[in-house]
Amino acid sequence: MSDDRNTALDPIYLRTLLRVNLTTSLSYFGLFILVIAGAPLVFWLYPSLATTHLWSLPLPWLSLGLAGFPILVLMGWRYVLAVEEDEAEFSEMVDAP
Amino acid sequence: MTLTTIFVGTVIVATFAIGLFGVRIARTTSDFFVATRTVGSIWNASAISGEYLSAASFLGIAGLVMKSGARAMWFPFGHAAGYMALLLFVAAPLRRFGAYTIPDFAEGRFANRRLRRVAALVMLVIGWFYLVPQMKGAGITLELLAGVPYWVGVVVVGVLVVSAVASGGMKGITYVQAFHYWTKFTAISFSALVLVFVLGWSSDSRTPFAAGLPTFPEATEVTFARDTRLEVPETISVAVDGAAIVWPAGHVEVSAGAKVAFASGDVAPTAATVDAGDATSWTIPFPEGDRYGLLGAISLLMAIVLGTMGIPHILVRFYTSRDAPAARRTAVVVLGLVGVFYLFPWIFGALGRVWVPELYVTGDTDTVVLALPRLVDGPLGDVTSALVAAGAFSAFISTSTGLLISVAGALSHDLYAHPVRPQASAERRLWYFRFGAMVGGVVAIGLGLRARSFDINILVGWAFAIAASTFCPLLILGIWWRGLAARGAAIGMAVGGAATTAAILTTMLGNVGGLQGALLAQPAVVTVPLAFAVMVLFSLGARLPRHADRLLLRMHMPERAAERLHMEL
Repeated sequence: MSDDRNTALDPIYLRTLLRVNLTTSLSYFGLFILVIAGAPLVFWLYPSLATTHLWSLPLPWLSLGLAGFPILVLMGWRYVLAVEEDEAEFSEMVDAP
Repeated sequence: MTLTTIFVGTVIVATFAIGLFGVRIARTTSDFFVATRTVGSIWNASAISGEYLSAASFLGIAGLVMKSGARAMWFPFGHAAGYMALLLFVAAPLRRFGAYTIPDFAEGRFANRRLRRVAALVMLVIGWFYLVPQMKGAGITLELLAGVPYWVGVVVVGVLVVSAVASGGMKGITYVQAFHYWTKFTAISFSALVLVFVLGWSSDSRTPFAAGLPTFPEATEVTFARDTRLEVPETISVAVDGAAIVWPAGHVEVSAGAKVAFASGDVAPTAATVDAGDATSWTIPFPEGDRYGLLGAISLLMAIVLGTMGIPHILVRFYTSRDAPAARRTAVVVLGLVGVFYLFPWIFGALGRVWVPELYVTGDTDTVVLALPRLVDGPLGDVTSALVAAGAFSAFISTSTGLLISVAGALSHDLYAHPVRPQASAERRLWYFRFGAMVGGVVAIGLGLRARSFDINILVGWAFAIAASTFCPLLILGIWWRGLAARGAAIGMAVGGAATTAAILTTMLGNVGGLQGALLAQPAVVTVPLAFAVMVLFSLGARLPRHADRLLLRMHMPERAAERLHMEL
């Protein structure tokens, strides 16, 4: 952990990184909460939806057993792209001087 | 039977490949504890998924869906969603930090040796809670396949797992675990499709979602392994040990060894541990009059989603990613692999309600995945039965080996060698590890022998609740908040872990109703925020590690930027 580099900028780097990374992670987390808490909330508030059938499956079974998984993967993939863009931008920035 | 033996035998031999290759290649201690060689994202993601999909996923989800219907559908969704939380907050920073295990992280992040021991103790509790249902899975699988008593399966698989771990450690495990994933995926997807094709999904009246109680599709004889108290919803005529008798609606006691014949079309009685419900309440997530249903569902999802990052054997495997971006991509691939697996188990639960209602009678709904393929005739039936048997073995062996490695590591390294024998040679440490594996395995077998009547998924859900109330706040605050102090982390883990364990034990011992009952059965919604709050509160004003800034920078600085800054992180 010892290097002879100037460490005066470290707190600034850390603050910037935490702010950027946390903003991205939390915004996707918000979206994620919407999906994962939304499912039980919708079926609790609108019980008639829970007995609605689509392609001979009740909606809770269709959404939790089939439809939910691709949504998760898509969300995860978009997050990875977003965070990689953030990191590339930061790397450009430290390179600038 | 022969085909089943061949398939199961292949799975067991492949598992021992860990040992066969491991003994020769594992030269260093670190090789023994973690597979230090890096592998590509797809391989690593297959291995993580292979280790994650346990008896709870392969047998338990189908069993709980058959038993509780839509109320169990939170489990598969939550188990996949857990990787999203891990991806968003933990995967990349932890890979950059370079910690093998959570106790490693606890010591490294806070420069505090005692915190390693606290984390190792928590890891033991979670590990054993998770190992016990795997043992149950082994017991009921061998009971059904080979007709041996429950304890035989527990002991045989327990000894198998201990010897695999003690002989090989982690070296070579990546490829074996990846093989386990593809075995399980092939088994569950192929047999689900065969069953839907052969039995039909919604032919006329025989659909799982039709109104009415489950009835026998044909005349069925049930042999009772234990004394059983049955709930009889409709008066039926049965033959008990050959003598015709009328069972009036109400309760009936059946003694062990009795053979009861039911007629085709009769409504199936249910064991006292099962609440088969009528079709309407089985198909919906919140039955009428269930006042705390929403609270229970949210709390359960919270436990599973936040607990995934703290399951002892999962995080370790991200260490084999090349770098932080690779760890992130691996997490997304895991999300996909686990997600595509979970498309299938609940189908068994739904078909089971229609085709094997005798499992409601015996209470053995956890065996529905193994029981259904027996209804398929001919060679196709033989292949399907053999495949699910191999998949079940693969499930409890892969997860048990992964868990036991973590448990043995915590016992031998974190709790013994590290504090007591820091000078021990690598060779001695291997012997400590082997002894740790034996101790960990014996405890798991002992507890597993007593777990016959617990649902696999309920036990696993509790392991996740403890992880969510201890390691989740440790990781999230430790990675994202420089102000977290060792004191706060230790007290927070202790309070969160103790509160969750107390709630679980209260639920196991007796029936508490109302709001308290709902919260005791699913405590995460209280214990997770509690653990977070305690950690923050006891960190305020406490002494921080000297290099807190540098440690956080190491976790969040992108690789390319670090290189350009000539930073040694």
